[in-house]
Amino acid sequence: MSATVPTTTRDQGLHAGVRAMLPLAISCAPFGVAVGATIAASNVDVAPKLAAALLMFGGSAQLAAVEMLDAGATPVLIVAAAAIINARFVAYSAGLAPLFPTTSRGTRAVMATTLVDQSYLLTSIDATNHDRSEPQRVRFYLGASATIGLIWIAAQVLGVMAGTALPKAANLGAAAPISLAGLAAGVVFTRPSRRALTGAALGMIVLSSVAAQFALIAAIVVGITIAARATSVEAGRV
Amino acid sequence: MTAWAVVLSAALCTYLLRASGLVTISGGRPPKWIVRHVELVAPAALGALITASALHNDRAAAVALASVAAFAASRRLRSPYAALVVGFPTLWCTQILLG
Repeated sequence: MSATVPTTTRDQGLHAGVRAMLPLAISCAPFGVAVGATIAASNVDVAPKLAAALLMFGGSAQLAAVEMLDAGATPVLIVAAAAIINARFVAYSAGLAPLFPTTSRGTRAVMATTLVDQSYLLTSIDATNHDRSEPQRVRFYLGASATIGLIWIAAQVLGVMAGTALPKAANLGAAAPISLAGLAAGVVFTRPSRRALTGAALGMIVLSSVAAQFALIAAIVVGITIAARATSVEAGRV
Repeated sequence: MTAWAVVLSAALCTYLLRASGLVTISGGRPPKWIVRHVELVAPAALGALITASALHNDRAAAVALASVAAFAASRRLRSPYAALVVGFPTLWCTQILLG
């Protein structure tokens, strides 16, 4: 585990959140453009699909909803698919709660609207590495969330307008795993965290072929379980 | 109208998932099982997300190699931008080599 770094008076949270999120948000933009291009190419009204960028605030679930709407799937099935894809947010939400114990329930309810992979991961990593007060941490989260939100929506609008002109060989869809791999480099300092990452990755490989819809949340649970179990065994608790 | 109803329902459902812990767990001490496992959620989520994104890409092998290079560069240089600067050239070179 890396040592915590005290924050300076200049670094009050908000702009630290913006600065930390910028490379991740930029790397999400190609995916946003790709989602926008998919929306533009679909044969159902563009307005609700584009509004989903703001309302659902999550690429995978939005893309699934757009494609299922196009395919004529039933509304119940589409909502269920979105819920399954986003089930990991339950774990993120529970994981963030201990970081904001005295923040008002109303503020936390607002913060929940923009909870995505990147905002959870950045905030939890920042809490480990920096000694911020709780209000600074709230500002960090909000700055990070606003940054990815603005870039994500702008990218989708760009995709709707000009998505078909994208160079396919550039494989911009790979920006997400590449940027997340960079983020992972700042997370796996301890043996349990390395086990959790490796266990989840292996779990994903196995589960994606047998239970694709549940694979993401199941792989996360597998990674956590393997790491926690191994740590307990080492500590002689089992 | 149906498309709007579907999007709004999915958005509400997603919000409830997001708010579940943040809104219901309050006031100081969260449940013990959360405290025990919370630091494992981020690495596990990253492992699952990176692998899922790579597997869903048409050029999975090249993406996997680029992700490893991005991880190594970011670790070595301690910069998130290093992941993009090293990851994408690795991706494009690997795609050319693999044909």
